[in-house]
Amino acid sequence: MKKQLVGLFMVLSTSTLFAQSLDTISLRSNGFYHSIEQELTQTPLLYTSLNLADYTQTQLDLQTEDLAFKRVQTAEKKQQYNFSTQGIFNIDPSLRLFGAIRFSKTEEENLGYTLSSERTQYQEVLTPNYFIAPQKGNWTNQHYHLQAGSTKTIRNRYLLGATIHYTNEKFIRTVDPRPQITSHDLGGKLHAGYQLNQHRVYGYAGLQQKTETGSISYVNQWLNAPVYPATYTRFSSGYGRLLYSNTYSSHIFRTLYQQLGLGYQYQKDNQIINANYYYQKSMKDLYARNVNGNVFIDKNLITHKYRTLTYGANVNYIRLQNQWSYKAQLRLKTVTGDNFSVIEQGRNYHSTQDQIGATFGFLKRADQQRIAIRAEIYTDYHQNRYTDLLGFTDKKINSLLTGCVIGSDLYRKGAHRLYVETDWAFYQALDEGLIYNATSSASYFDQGVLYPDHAYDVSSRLQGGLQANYFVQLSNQRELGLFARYYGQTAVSDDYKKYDSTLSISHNTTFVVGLTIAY
Amino acid sequence: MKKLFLLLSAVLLTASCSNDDDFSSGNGAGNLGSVNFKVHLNYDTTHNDLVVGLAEVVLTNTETGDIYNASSATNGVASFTNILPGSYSITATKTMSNLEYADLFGFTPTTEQVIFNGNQQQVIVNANVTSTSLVLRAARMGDLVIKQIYYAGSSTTQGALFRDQFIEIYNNSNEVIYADGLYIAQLYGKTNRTVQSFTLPSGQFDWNQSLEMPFGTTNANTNYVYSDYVIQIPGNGTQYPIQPGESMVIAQNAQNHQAPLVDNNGEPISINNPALTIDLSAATFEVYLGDWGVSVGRDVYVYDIQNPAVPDMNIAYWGRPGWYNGNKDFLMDNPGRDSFVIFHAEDFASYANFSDPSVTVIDNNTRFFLQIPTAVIIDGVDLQHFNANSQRPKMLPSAIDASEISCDASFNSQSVIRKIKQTTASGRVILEDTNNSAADFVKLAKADPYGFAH
Repeated sequence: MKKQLVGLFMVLSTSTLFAQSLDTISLRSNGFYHSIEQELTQTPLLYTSLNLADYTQTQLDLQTEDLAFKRVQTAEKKQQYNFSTQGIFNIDPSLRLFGAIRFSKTEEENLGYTLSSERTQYQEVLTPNYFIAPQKGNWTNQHYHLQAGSTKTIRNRYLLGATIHYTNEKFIRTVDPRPQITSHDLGGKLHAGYQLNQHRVYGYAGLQQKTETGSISYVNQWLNAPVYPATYTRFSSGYGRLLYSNTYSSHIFRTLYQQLGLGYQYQKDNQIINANYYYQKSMKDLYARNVNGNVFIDKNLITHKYRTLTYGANVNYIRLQNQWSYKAQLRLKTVTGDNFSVIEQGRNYHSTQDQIGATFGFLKRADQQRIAIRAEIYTDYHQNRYTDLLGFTDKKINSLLTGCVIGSDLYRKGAHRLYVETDWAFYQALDEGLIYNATSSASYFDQGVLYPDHAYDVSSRLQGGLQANYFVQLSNQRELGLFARYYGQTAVSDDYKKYDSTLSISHNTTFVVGLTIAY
Repeated sequence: MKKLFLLLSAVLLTASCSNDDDFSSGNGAGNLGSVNFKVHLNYDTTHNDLVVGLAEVVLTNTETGDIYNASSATNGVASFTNILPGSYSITATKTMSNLEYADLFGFTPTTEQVIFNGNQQQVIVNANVTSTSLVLRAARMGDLVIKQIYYAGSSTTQGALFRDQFIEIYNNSNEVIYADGLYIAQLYGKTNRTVQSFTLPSGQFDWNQSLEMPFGTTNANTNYVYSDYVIQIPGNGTQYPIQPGESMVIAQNAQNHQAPLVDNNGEPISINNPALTIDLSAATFEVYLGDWGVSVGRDVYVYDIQNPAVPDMNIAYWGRPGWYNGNKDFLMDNPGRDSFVIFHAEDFASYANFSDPSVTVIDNNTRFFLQIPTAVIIDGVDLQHFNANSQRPKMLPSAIDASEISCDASFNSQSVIRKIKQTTASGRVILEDTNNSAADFVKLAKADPYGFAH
């Protein structure tokens, strides 16, 4: 008993010895810090007292996806070329700058049932109001994204911050019908806070505007006729109802966002606990052509209005130490969507998406450089419902997503390091329902999209991945990294047969290779 | 800090309240759902404004193409239940025998059957608009009818493009009719349904607002139609008979389009797939602008190829002198945005012409359109764009054509042709003629001059 007590004392002493706060945190050193990196651009005032190391990281990567098991409005194959550079620069302890530039080019193959810039790869339903044709086609898309931010602490009390972002995208389809979409998205936020000893409160307000200009043309004009339903352009307003619309040839979507947020944080050394609340409202208006065939921003040309309201809250705990670091999060979010038709003078579509989730993770360092183990588990419960009042469609899907991540530096010698990580996620539909009553004889949406997508949504699926990252420390604090990642997804139930027995459940694969240089 | 918290709460509350106004339009922003709708039917004033019972009413949703049918009750009301809100076109038809007509209106008509038609376009149906009224007018039945219109043309790469277009006139009666002097007019109107200051609620031009229209004119839309091109069958009155059950084909170019041709510049015109086009060398007439065009200072159009063996149509109207309209031949709109009428007129020379109501200043580029009284029209057909996304408003009143007809696409060799109503014992074909082209016409997969619907 005495020996055991002495042993415990030694362990605790050792733990205490290593339980010193991390002097400087290098966000790029491991994916464990990725959440802090993301939150830095959303709520930067939470981290003004964290010693984040300066860094610049540039990355080039190629990603290929083979998506046989998917929703309809997602490409069967994707190839993406990415270039990014990002970094943090602390001018002095009270002034921090951060930013990122990203460019990517995407080639999509065999994407049908949408002529818009949205995809259902990461969302169950496209937002209403988009042009549609069943014909599959290939797309070439480009995305440019720039973001920057700054925080300033005044007299150790007053906290100020500003963030700005600009995104420019272009989407082009190469077969009839041929949409060309250009999108500009500019937004910014102002942050203000007050700090007193370990306590701080903050708030922010933001505005954002996204303008998407689209046109759909045909090389073979005779394909633009109702007698060729596969290539004839129609308009989806809601989730199930298709209309004729002559503004397919040119139109504008403009989305205005208003954002508000506030929070409280208690921080002692590198131990943080905070609670945050955020609100966002977006209003997406569709502008049709005027009598002369021109389209521009004029409220008299609005034909549809789609509004979303987002309310969210989260509580976070972070403890960053030399040896052990922990993080945990509880999160809640609810998003409601409503679509209004100007000509019909009413609301034709409504959606609600509720989410509750939690994450817990830890990181253990064997020494200052080597990561012994990183682990994370997360779970999210989603309760989603989509209703088209004129379609008529009522779709309900309650699901649970649970996952884990485990990684470790398997090899470390001198300037060389090999980090390997595996992650797994399991999705299961807990409750579902789909009601569709055809109110129009000329709609293919049910057989083309509704039933196949619901078949996908009710199917349990397992995703597993493995990544290897090889780092070489170069001179002058530079580090070169090479990485390869592989992910696979497969259906693990046959619930899809209830809605679409022909749904492809072949294995999906994603492969990413790239290199980074950080300094 | 307390003040800051209160300020932020106030801002959030304000943001929440303003959400209620996001969709406000003065008419509420409640959930949409199916509605009930009534159509009140009356005969026109010449038929004492009586209610129309047992008429067939068709509602067509112009946003989805869905069709709803109902019959009016004896009180003249057709009730539709559970229809979706949106924009509709409405067509109503009442058919009665001459005995029924005599019973109702007190005099016996000369025909065995009398058909009444009514039409309304761009009717908004929603929770706030639950009814409309429609006037039905007696359809004018002529012995001569437009039997077939081949306007789509044939393949732009394999066929004859637009060169093989034609229109066919048919004698639907049991007596010989002389076509001498018959006019065929290609009508002009707006090509979209957008309502503007110078249009009617249907989106069609409001010709009452035309620049030179006499002040106070109110019947420019109801009593007239407007044409940019009018051609006339020549003859001295008894030169061109149409036998009962026979027809005349008026071709743009009376050529065998299945065979190679030579254009007016001496360049060869080859046809890659003759099966897509037709032989019009046996056409009764053709439209040749050559001599007329030269007389007004125009060059002969390269594809206006004359067949000396086929009589030419007279050019009756091609725009106001000095402001001639631009077509270089009898060119029909390939997507289907034309309407056609046939008529006789002794006082044709006295018909006025007007610019369209969108014109505010007359200049060298202004076009003028011949005003044709609906009272002289023997038959007419409203065509429609094949693309449901690009519909245009009707040009003809419902008494002449209650609806419209279209091919499936442009340049697909299709034509629209009247259905066969019956074939007499002697073999004479009587074509369908209810002055409702949606009911009277079908599409032919390939135009067939002098042929019949299958």
